[in-house]
Amino acid sequence: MEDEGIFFHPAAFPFRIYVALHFVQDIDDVAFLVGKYGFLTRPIQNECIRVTQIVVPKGRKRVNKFTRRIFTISFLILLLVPYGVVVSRQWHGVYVCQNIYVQFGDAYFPELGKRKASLSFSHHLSNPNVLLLY
Amino acid sequence: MSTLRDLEERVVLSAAGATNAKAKASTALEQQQDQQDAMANAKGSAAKRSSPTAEEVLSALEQDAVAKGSAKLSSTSTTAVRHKLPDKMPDEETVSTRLAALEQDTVAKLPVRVVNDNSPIGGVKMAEKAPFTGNGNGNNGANDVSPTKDANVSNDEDEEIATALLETGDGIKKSPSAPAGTGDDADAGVTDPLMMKVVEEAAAAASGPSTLEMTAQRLLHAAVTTTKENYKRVERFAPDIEKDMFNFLAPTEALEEQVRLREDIYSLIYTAHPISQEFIYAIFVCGLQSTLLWLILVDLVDFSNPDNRMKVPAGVPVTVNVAQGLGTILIVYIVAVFGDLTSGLIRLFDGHENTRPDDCPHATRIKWFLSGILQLQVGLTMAMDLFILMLQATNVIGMCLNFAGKVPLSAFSLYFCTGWRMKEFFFTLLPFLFVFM
Repeated sequence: MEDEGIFFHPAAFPFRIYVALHFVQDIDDVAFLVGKYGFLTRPIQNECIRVTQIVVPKGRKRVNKFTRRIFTISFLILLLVPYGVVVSRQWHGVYVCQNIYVQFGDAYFPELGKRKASLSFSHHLSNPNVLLLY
Repeated sequence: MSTLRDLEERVVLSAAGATNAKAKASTALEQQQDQQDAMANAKGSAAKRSSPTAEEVLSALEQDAVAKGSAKLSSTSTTAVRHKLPDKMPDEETVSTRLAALEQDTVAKLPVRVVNDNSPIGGVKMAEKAPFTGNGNGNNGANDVSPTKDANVSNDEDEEIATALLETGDGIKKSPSAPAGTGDDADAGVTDPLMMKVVEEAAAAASGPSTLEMTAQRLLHAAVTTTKENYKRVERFAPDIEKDMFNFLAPTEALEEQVRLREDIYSLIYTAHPISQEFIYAIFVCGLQSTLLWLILVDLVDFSNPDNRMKVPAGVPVTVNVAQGLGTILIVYIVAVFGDLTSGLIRLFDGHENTRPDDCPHATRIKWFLSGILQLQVGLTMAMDLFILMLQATNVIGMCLNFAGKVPLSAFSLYFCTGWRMKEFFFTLLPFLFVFM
């Protein structure tokens, strides 16, 4: 991956997904323009051109700028709150593997071959890890 | 000022047509009749277009004269013209009464205008009484200097001139001091350099309104008198105020009552016939997009692991978390600007107007909400995908990157969506090629 440039650098991953999903998001617009420019059948082209020219009466409950701002701010809050929860859980080690089972050999110490080890983590990384031998 | 200039142009045009007809007239009545004929011939259809604003100009001038009590018509008087027409036009008697009152009130305060036929702008010129009225040789034709005069001067001669002005029904009138038929010789005295100097000094020493204000007064008065002549033709020939000659005065509220559809597949769903290939094509594209987004979402989520369904990685550095936060804000930007989520929400919140357009018989209420719901679910799925992808590593995103994440193809889609020309397309593509290749 090193020879493909900075675009495929692991640090650029959050921005790479935008490029990918932006394409998926633009599928409908591209399809509309494909139909409008006549790459498909004539009825589709005529209908696409008619859509560009048509005007509809203004609705009574027209969404104003204030409502749009409310949409935007609400959506920002709806995304930032889960993001904060996820980041907080990451920092507290929630997503870390909780238990690791280890089977020791008896080459170093013969008694270890008879036992298993369970390495458990608490949710707080600051707490001391616990190694249980049984 | 643009309003004033437009008004000036129209007045000059109308004055030019009236001047030619008036030269042939001998009495005031004949002048008026000939002027009406000339106006009708010269303007033709333009007369019926200019006439609807007669009431506006008259009302504005009347209000201005009453409010200020002086003849100074500054630029605010032109802004006062910008008001809506009354729903019901007054009858002729009311208009005549108002015009008579307006004339008596306004013209007595307006400076005296005496107009030459040989004026370069169609005969509209300002008269000057003092200090060389006694010349009697048409020295009012001081070419473009037009020395001003105190507006409060009201002696008998001024009243006569004003009365004569109003009798003609036009701001264009020959000077009474100049003999009829000698309009060409009226400027003979102006050629004298001494007289020119006197005229300039008088203009400089005048304490009346400025040249701009005098021009505004002159033009407005000419407009009033001209539209007075045409007022009877208003109701007959110009019922449509949207297409009048003075449409800069007409409100454009009618244009705001209609909105254009957004150019996307969902508008196609709304307008197309339910059983037609364009509707099926739109549904197919919408389903393709939605299916792809749902597949990405299902692949991203691990339902078997209740502790970590979103497959969030553990132990990421803080820099990645900061980048994720910035990416989350970017998601909002993308959704708010380009996304289908906002468009679908607005489409649903707007509601459907039952009065569908005439050229769109298949635009029904059901399809309106169908398109809105489809667009909303696509936008929601897109937002969820973006958010989950922001918080984890992906597998399907690699597939998208294979055919879409490649920069040329992405820039190609950008080129399509923005409608840029090929030149901008290549200039956009060039830095990406340098960076990523």
